[in-house]
Order: sequence, then C-alpha cells, then structure tokens
Amino acid sequence: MYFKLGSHLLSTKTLANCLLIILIAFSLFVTNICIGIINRQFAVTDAVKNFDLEKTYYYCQSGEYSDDAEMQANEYIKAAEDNKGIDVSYLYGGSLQLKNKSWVSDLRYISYTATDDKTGSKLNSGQLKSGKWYTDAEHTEGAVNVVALEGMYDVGDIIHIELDPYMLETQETDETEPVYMNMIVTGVIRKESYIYYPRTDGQDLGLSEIIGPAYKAAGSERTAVYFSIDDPEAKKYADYFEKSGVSVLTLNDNADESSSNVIADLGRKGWLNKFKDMYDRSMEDIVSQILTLVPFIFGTVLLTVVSLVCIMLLNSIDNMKTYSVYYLCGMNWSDMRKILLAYSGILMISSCILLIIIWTASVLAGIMDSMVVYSMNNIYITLGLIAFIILIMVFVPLMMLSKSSPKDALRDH
Amino acid sequence: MIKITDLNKTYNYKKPNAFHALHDISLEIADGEMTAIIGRSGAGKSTLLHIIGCIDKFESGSYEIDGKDVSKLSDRELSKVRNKMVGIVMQDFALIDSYTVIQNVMTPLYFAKIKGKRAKEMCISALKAVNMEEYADKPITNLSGGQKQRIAIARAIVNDPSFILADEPTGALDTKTSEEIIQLFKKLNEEGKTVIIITHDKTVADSCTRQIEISDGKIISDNRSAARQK
Repeated sequence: MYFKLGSHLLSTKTLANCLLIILIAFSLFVTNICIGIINRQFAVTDAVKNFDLEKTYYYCQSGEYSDDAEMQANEYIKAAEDNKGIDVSYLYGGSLQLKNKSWVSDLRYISYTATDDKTGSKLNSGQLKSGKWYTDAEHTEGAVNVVALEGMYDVGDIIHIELDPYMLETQETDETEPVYMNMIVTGVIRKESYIYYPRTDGQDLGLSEIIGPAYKAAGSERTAVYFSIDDPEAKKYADYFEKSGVSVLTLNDNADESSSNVIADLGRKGWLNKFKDMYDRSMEDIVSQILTLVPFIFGTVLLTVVSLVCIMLLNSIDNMKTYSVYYLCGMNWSDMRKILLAYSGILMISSCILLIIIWTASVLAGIMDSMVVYSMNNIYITLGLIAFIILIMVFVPLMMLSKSSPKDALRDH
Repeated sequence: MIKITDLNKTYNYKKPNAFHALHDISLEIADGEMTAIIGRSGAGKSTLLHIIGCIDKFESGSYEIDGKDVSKLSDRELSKVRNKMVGIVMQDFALIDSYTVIQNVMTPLYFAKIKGKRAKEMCISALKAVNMEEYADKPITNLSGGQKQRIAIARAIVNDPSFILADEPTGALDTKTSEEIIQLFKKLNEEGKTVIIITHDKTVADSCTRQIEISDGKIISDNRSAARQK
C-alpha cells in the first residue's frame, strides 16, 4: 500500500522527480570518483601494511661504480647477510621468454618480479582477483607457483618458459641446449593492484617510487608474473634470474647494535630508505591531495543538498492537496512517514540504477582504470549519503505538513 | 450517536491574534438523522464540521462518537475514526487529479488496509450507489462538476462510515446538479446513513429533517432545541 501511494507521488511531478533522480545519481557518481581517487592514494600505503615499517629498509646499491666500489658494496651486503639480526631479501626482475606453445596471441615475453618467501608473502595485501597467493598455494612438482596479472592467464594455466642461457656467467659459446621451466598460475591479481617493483634509487623516496600499479609493471610485455625465489622449483633455476640491485633489509628479533651498524654502513655505500620514512612522506602527499579534493566533494554534496531541499519543498507544496486528501481518508503521521519513505526509496533505487549504468559505462570505456581504486569506503560513504538524502526527502515534506492544516491546504488548492 | 458538550474552539489560541470561533457549542445528532448546519459566512459552520470530522481540534468541552471521547484519542486512533466512521465531502470535491475515478474512490481503503479484489468490489459498489460505475477507469479531469461530486460522495461512503459530513457540497454546482446531489444524500439517508450538511443555501437546508443555525460561533436555533425552549 505505501509503495503504491509512494509511486503515485512519483507520477504527479514527473519532470521534477526525473531531475531529482539525475541529481542524486550525479552526486553519488562524483563522490565515488573522489573516494576512488583518495583510495588510490592509499593503495600505496596499504601495500606495505604487513611490513614492520620501523624495522624494514629499502636498499639500492649505488650506480656510481668502479670495480672497487662494487666489490666494497658487495662486501657490505655480505655483512648484512651474515648478521643474524638482519634478513636480506633480494629483488629479481626482468623478462622471460615464452616457449612457443605458451604464446597467447602474439605474446613472446612476460615480465617477472621475484623475491623470497618472507617478503613475498607480505606483499599479499588482498589484491587477488581469483585463486591463491603463490606462497599460500600447494607446491606442484615440476612447476613454479606464480601469481599472474589478469588478462592473459587464469588460475591453473601452465606457462612454459625458455630460459636465457646467457644469464649464466659460465656461458661462453653459442652452442647450448635450451633450458625450459614451467610455471603454474595459482592466482590472478587485478591489473590496478599495487605491487612491489622498485623503479628507482635515491634518498628521501616515497612509497610510490617502489610500489605501483601492476599493469605498469608489466610494461611492454603486457603481462607479468610474481613468484618466490625460494620456490623449490625456482631454486633450481635461480642462476637464470636477474638480481636488480635492490633489496629489502629487515631487522629481526636477533637484531642488536651490530645489526644497526651494518645497516648504517650500507647507507653510506648506497641508497637506504627506511620504510617508515617513505610511508610518512607518502602520507604527506596523500593528505595534500585529499585536501585538494575535499572542497570539491564538499561543494558537490552541498549543491546536491541545497537542490534537493528546494525540489522537495516545491514537490511538497505541489503535493500538499494530495497529502490533505490522504489525511481526510484516514492517514496518520506514521502512514505519512512510510509513504514518504516508499517515495524516497523508489527515487533512490532509480538513482542507483542510473549510477550503476554510468559507472559501468565509464569502467568499460577504461576511464576509471588509472584513476580510482574501489574499497569498502565507497560502500560506506555511498550508503551514508543515501541515508542522508532519504532523511532529507522525508523530513522536508513532514516539516511542511506540520506547518499547515489539511483543511487550509484543500482550501488553498 | 454524536454528542458535543460545551465545546469551544479558538484559532491562534493564547496568541495576541486569537479568534474565538465556537462558543460553548452543545448538540446531539442521533443515528439516521439528516441535519443541516446553516449560517452566514464566518459563523463557524465549517469549523464545527472540521471538529466533527476529526480534522481539527478544540480547547475545551467534549465530543463523543458512540460514547467514545474523541479528545482523548491519539493521532493513530483519530485517523481510524476518519477512515472508518466519517465520510467527508468537500465543496471543491477534494479529488486527486492525477488519479482515475476508481483510484480516488479506493483511497480510504488503502488506509483501511483493504486491497485486491475486495477493495475493487467495494469501490464498484460505491460507484453504483452514485450511478457512476461506468466511469471507473476514467481520469478525474474528464468529469463535470456534478460527476466529480458524485465521485467524492462515493469515496466518502466506500468504507461504510457511520456518518457523512458534507461541507457546502453544492457550492460549486448549478441548480439542477445541486438538486441531483441533494437527492443522492437523501437516498443515502433513507438507506440508514447519518448525514450532516453544512450550507448557507436555504433550499439545501429545507431538504433536511433538522436544521441547526449558527451565528458568531453560537447555536441560535435548533428545530429540536427550539421546541424545548418554547
């Protein structure tokens, strides 16, 4: 009954109600875009949520090398490896050639990033689209567990790799048997997921210098895989994987003064950034960007609220006779609230349908990919806005009605 | 059935521009009576009708319907009185223009939580009583004034109320149509409905079996009370 009476209110002022639907859908769309942009900023900091920021360092060997300098740098790294209070995780990366039976369309190479189990498992910050993270899946005999970027591979796919024999330092001639390796896809990550792929060196880095969207990591190869260098199968081919000169150093429970000294020495011979400092720099950037967006969000919501109140006032004046007739026929305040809730609900459902259409169109057009990241924030804030709008749509007519009497309304109309 | 005792109504009560519209009104209307409440403009007739119809409140006195004190009822209970016991017909019909005929007639049934086939049957029955059943699916805007008033009467009787209140029901109609509408009220009264008509029209008042005259918010004559005073 309330739904029927609420829908009658919709039919009395079709143009105004259509305007309301478009207005609400627009404000929800804009708000969600802004939230998505803010979420995207936090994707960088979310990617390190499993790290102990105070005890973790990003280290990149200096590029200004003489042979002596390189030797010295390697000594310092070895000192870190030998110190029982420091866990050293190297980062491996590059391209792998696909064996022709693994070609997907004309794809010949895939990008890869590998590190050890410990660091690799921390990078699993809930970005999987399907399947399991490579450290969580069971080991398959004869294949390396990998997580692949969405688009080219699905969970369960076997990727056949032809390894580059020139990676081996001992390789001196062209005459060599090809070496093959298999990978099994245990999980697929979203292309906008944030993943660890260091791209630069230097001091005073932010997290965005070492963590970025996975689809950018894939580069010209168009797809990428991630795996652990500690994988039993990967270990067999460790020499074929290229160290990038970057490592993550973590102070463990055995750390003492000597560990801190080794870390400090490394800082003198290369680029050393504490994760906490990088996190703080990133947060400053994020706050600055949010402050730029907040006035825009506030302005959009304010415009929507003011427009909504005006339209509801006009709607209420136009519908006053209808409300008065309902009153004569036995409506009470509780009925009135329910009718208005039904009316608001129909408007909100229509707005949400329009919002979904607009959103889907923008996603299919690829507008959103590099702009926004979705999270529960979008759901919470959208629901909050919807509740607030419904409150206005119920409160304004009730306020109007409380100021008038049915008999006066009937006389005036 | 309707008993009003020493009822007072003041607009803008306790404010500087207060206006005392009804003074110590006392009357009783029995079941089955057809009563006209007459008086000049501003006498307080509509005010009294609105109070009887539970769409306005009063400050002092008492008002009982079938022994139940209306002034002590909550908003929900008053709405039930308006829905089940009272059928109101207004001078300007008070119909919803965007509805069809049957949707207008069905409005009280929504609030009585009567729906579906039963609701439709009740609507058709009410429309038959006012000879308008063939217009059930027509838009209201296509009807004449007399037809609209018939629809308003159908809506007023659809839920079988205890009494029908009509505020100047012929005020917007021509003479011929007015006569038709009054005949309709008489027919409903003969079928057992209590009818109370507010009017300043002598012809309409003369068609009722009882006349109560109001002036300046007071009852100055009542064919029953006038006989007692003699």
